[in-house]
Amino acid sequence: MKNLKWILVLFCFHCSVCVVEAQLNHVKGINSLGVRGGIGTKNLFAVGLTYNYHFNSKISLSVEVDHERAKFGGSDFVGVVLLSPGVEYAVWSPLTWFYLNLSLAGSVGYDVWRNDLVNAEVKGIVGGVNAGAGVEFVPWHFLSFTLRAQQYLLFGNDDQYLKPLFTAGVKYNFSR
Amino acid sequence: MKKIWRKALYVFSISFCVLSCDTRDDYFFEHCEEPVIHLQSDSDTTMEGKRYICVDLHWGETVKIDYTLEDKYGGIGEVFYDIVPMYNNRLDGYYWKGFADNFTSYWNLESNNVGTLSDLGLDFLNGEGRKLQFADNLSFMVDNDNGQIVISENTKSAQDFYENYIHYSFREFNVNSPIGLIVSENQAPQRSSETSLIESRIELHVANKLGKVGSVNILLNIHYNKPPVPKLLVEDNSLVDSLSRTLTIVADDPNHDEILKYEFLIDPYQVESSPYEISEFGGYDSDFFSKDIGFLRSDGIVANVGYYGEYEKIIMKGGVWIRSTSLSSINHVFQTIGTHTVYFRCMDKWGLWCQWKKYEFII
Repeated sequence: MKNLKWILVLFCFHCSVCVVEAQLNHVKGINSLGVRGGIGTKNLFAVGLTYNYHFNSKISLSVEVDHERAKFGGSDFVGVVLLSPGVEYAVWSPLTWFYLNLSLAGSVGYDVWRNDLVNAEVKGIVGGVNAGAGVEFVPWHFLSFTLRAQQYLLFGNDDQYLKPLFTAGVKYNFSR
Repeated sequence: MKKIWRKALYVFSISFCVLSCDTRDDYFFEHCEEPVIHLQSDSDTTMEGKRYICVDLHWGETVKIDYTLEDKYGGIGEVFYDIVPMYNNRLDGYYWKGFADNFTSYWNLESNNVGTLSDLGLDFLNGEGRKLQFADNLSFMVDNDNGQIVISENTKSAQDFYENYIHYSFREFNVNSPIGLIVSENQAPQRSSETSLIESRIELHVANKLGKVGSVNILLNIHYNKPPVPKLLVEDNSLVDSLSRTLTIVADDPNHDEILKYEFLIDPYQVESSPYEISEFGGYDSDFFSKDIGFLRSDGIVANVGYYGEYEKIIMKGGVWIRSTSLSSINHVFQTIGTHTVYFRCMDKWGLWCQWKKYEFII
């Protein structure tokens, strides 16, 4: 059943490409503004905004802002905001509407840990790096869809942790 | 092309595994300090890197230890505990309820391969179904309401102790331990083998609201009840008769127990004397070792005047035997002039007799 879902998604992209003449959007001066949402392996959800500025067909500046919530035992976690500026590199583009991207970015954010049972709270700034990989489908030159997987390594609040993030997103592409 | 896809699949699998790693956990549980149990005690020791509060206990004694709990987060549950028996497996009856009663049955089950220990309702180790607990003669209680730990040694008598809590196959006798128990070197408690009958570690735990557990360890030393040490005083009482003497037993008890009974055996004669190896003693000889733990036979005595590892069994007959009197002093008119021999012993309030002692004097 899951396979069928993905086949349908790919089919829709294929049809879109067939009926609309896609244009390259990974060219200098193109901006992409999008939203994304997803989950990790232990968290509840994460949502975020993305921005890309393309320097050329391969490299773009990437900025992501995410918000995340999770619960670990008796501790509630809120990643209030996590800002991740970095670079995205298109390593493979066999078709004009398909890109395989790798990314590397730094991260800085603000985490809150809370336990209502003992009425305790710890909050503070965290920082670290993240790396990721993803695919981007561009059915129309102004709109693209992304699927990404990222791994974060963050330090702060007398702790350090790894966390994954798997997201699906949509981006609006424009130039100015 | 297939190779490329296979490689891609490998790369994807490895990447996915790496990317799936989330090391976050319950932050407050991981970072909170353990709750602390403060025990009020005068002595402590360190064993295997752990600190132990030492508690000494004698037969019939109850020790109460006050404790306080401290936790940064304010809320603490009840104190619970684990018992960790040590070394002296001869005294397993102390740890398992009913162990001594069922021990023979257990070995029979094992040897005949017809059942297990659990068939008897016992577990050898800390099982899931049944926790290790002390037998009835030793109780350990945590009074959470009053913040007290109450440890009681409930032995009622020497006979009760040796009959009920030490299986006969573990009872051995030597001259240095007249109460009849040998703790061999490799099984002896390491810290105080000369004075402690049992050492047991008790781990106290308390969990705070976050589930973090703090612990403190108690080293429980249950001491031998030592038999009294008698001396015989012989006083000339020739005002009554020239051969009359007053025999008085003066006893010191290492545990300061009251001395209840005395026995005198005056001028018996020896009918048998032979070395007696411990190794020859394979089972419980109820005739030889009578229940009053006095090495007595109905037809005489066995005066266990031997040396370590071997006994000289001396059976005496005849003479005047004053049994189990509460009088520490008696008058006796000897029949002849010459050398006389008096065997004597006494018993403390636990019913624990000391060994027979021999005293010779000349009239």
